[in-house]
Amino acid sequence: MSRVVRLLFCLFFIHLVNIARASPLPSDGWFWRTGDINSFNKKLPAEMSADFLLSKVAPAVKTSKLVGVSIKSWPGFSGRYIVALCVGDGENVENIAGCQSELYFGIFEMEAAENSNNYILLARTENKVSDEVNWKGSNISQEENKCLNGDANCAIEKSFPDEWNYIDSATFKISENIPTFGMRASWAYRYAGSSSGMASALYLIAQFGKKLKVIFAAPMSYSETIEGEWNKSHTLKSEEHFAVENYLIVEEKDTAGVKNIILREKNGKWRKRYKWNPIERMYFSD
Amino acid sequence: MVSQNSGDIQPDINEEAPAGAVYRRVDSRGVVVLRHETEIGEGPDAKIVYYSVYHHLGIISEKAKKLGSQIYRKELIGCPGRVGGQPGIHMEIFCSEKNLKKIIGRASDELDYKNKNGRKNIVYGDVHFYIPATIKSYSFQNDIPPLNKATPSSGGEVIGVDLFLTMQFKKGQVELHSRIKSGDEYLKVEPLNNKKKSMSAHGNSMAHYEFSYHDYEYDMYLLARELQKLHSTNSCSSIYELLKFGRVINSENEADLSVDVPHWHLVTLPNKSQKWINLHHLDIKIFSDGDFPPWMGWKFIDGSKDETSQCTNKIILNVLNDGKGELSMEKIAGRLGDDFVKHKFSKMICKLRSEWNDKTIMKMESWRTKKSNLNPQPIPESEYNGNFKSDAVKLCFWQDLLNRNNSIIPSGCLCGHKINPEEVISKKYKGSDGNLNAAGKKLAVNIDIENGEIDRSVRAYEPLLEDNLYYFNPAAFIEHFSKNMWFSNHELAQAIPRIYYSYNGDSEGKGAVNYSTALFRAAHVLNKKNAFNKMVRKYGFSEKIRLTHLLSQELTEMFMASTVEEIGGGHQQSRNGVLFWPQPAMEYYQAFYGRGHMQLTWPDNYAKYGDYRSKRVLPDNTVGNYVDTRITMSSTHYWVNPKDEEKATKKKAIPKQWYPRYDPAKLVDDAYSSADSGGWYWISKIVSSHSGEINISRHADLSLDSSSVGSVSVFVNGGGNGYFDRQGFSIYVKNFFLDEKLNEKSIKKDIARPTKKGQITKSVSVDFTPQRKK
Repeated sequence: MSRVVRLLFCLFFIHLVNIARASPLPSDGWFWRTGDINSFNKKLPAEMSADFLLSKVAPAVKTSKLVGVSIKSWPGFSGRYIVALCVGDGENVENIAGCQSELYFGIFEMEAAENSNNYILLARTENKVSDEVNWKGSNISQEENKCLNGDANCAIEKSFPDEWNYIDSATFKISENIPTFGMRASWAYRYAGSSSGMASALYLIAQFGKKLKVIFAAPMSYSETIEGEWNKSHTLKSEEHFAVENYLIVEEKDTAGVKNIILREKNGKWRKRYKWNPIERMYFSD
Repeated sequence: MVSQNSGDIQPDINEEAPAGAVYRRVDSRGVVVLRHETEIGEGPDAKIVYYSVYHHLGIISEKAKKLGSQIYRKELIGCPGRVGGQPGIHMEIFCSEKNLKKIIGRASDELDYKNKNGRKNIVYGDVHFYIPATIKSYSFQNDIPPLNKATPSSGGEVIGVDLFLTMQFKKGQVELHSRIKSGDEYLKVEPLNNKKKSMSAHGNSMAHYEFSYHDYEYDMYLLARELQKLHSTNSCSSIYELLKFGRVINSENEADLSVDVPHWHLVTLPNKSQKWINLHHLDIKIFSDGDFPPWMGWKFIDGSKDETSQCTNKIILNVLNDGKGELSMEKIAGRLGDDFVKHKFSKMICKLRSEWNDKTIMKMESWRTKKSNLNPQPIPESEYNGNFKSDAVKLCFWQDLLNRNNSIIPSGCLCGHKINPEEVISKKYKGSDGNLNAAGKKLAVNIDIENGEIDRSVRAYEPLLEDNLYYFNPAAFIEHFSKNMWFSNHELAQAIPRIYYSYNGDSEGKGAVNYSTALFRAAHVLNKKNAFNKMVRKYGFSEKIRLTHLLSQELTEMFMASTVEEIGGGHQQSRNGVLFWPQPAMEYYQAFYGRGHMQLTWPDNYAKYGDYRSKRVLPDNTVGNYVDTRITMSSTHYWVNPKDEEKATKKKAIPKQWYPRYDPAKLVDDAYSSADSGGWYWISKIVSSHSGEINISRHADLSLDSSSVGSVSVFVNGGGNGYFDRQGFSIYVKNFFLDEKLNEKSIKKDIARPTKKGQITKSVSVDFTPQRKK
């Protein structure tokens, strides 16, 4: 069979499987819990009940704490699924776009059975994700107030996101041996008035055997719209807009067998290189 | 204001004069008596009258010499003369019995602390708890109290002795002081080992909260949220009141609390150990400084039957006598310098008749001619009936005061002053024919309503004086009431600048607000139904620096206190027949335009405030009719600015359904919620994205310089709108609120506004013309 024919056959076969067995299709968004443990705003894929996922990914967490689920096929790893569980105090979540509480990850592999799919847990985070984003040396400053007032040390700390937004669908090939996926997170700056701001970060999570571990967390974007002055009729005279966005580039060069990562500012000169630390098993900036 | 110019008593220039002539060393050209009419809380019982006396003034200002003049805060009334050979004045503060009942809540020494809570309408300063001996205290692992439990199922020991606990908030922290009663004394109990000092800071944030005494006040909203999660049938706002006041005091506007919401504090027990007590217990009674609790030293002394002015009341003599032998003049002189004695005397409320009564003064002072341990060098009778009498009688003002106060000077000099509709109803409220347009008619009705309220409120003042007076130590009285930030509308009107600076993007300008307009805005908008006062009390704006910051922001957000709604109501405008959005974001928030004292905008902010107040007080609008018809049962709305959201998340922002949530118009129609939403925003605002710290007061408490005002502006609105106006307001309000000397000259101050794209500098002019009635 030629490569082309083989590929077409595969695509056709996968398509058939999806139809026949109602396999979970990648979901961009979250399934939010609306009532008891298996009651969600959108129907969860068959064989992926909430209590099943919770028992596998975060068995120590009470079922009452499950707030939402996000499931996505792992780009580049056919038949594998990334599951993110949002765990909290059961606050009203019907109107949020992302998870505003604790996050756990699991990787499942689909095993086709005769009449149904089985999902086998391959790896999971042992605890909730607790790694913070390091803003030091970033081109993105979060500490709005201090920075606006000229404090040179305005962006030296670490912080934890307000919201986990979505599992990133990009492939992050940092090494043949370290399967990696991304998670987007954000911070929202809510002013009383119509001014607003948001920052985002990218987390990379890698699989090491049965464990999932955060290996990279860095600021990626900042966007701010500030109300300007009003004119005499109390309509807006001006609006200040400020935005910074970074690209992530996986370099060809590697450190200890794992490719370097470069963050580069879109339309800007700023760039920063991150290298693999094999002892810590995560990236550190130069 | 009652003044008397006695005029001709000159300083005793004879330094060799015998000691008995000390009374001659008085340089007194007169006395000024001020009648104060103010409010210390809600309702007629909180409208008080008291008097301050400034005797032995060397110079009296022309304004103060005028009978019935209105003297405003920080106005000069005179300069000190000499007392006892030294520069100084004699100062008194007193009130009538009717007003004493209003000021301290009773007219006897007894505060029934065992059976009744303190007043709810008059609450200020520190919070106090009477904890009966039967209450249990607990020890918890790692000193972390169980927020889910009001009564742990096991353990606990009864404290065994009645405790009096004082809770004091100061610059983001909380202090707790225990006292026990021993005889008539209340003794402070200091801990052997203060555990709180060794407790670590947890760096609390919205995402994570652990009980901590570090920044307790700044983080109190986080603690309230945590408690609400564990006691979900209760409102977070009511729990916040529990933490702030020990109980819900705004009970008309807030939901009741269930008894199982705990209010844990680490309390120093009589044995000097520290254990946890849940202060939310029916047997524990709650008070504030406004109840003048006896454990804070407040004590009645009845000197009204005294035959001389010698203060021979037993309680006073006991304080003066250290128990070692008889009292003597030297001993008294020594004891009067003792801090313990000074503190005791400062908290005495003495029932007396005025010593400045020419009909009784000679009888009351007659002890001066009799030799005793307390008066070893009596005045000769001839001197007593000569120079002494001549000077003493000249210094007497009581009969004049009684006469002028009770019959000449009308009550409610300022507080009875009404809004003049002519000053408020400007051209825009009239048609070309000069008749009122629809808005003008509405305004006229509202002015009538507020003037009716002024009529009613002025009747609550009881200014008449009678012979029996209640005296306070002036310094203690001033210190005590400096914690009371309840304003009458006339007082608040004075915080609205007469002439204000504004910068509107391409030009700088000045605006003017007359007194009637300022008063109408204070009464009908800023402090409608005392909503501003209640917000100030609830969210800890009792420090003047914080309060100045708050007002500087609110004056801008509310367009000089003129409205609680964003002008334009989130609607498109028409220019040459073409509709346009007056600002880009408005296209997305529309019906969720700015409302309330801080102009909450976007459904996200409204939803969070609704969650805070709970569905019990802001219930779902199940009918589905909203005042703004752009909100319907099926309409969807962007929660936050989609432009920013989409940039950050790379996902299309999806508008969501608001229904069945409460009607956002509540933040306009309900004065309490309108003001409260501003306070909530202030204390819940994340002020450091790195650490997740909340509460704008963290920055407001630092100072009132332009950098701090700038920081606060950034937290309130991002720093764009009205940045320079807010700076000008802060300088104006500070001048009248803070205790420094009044600056009467207008100033210009260069203010820089840092932005991401460079600095903008403006020379902000501040006109200190005071806001006064004509």
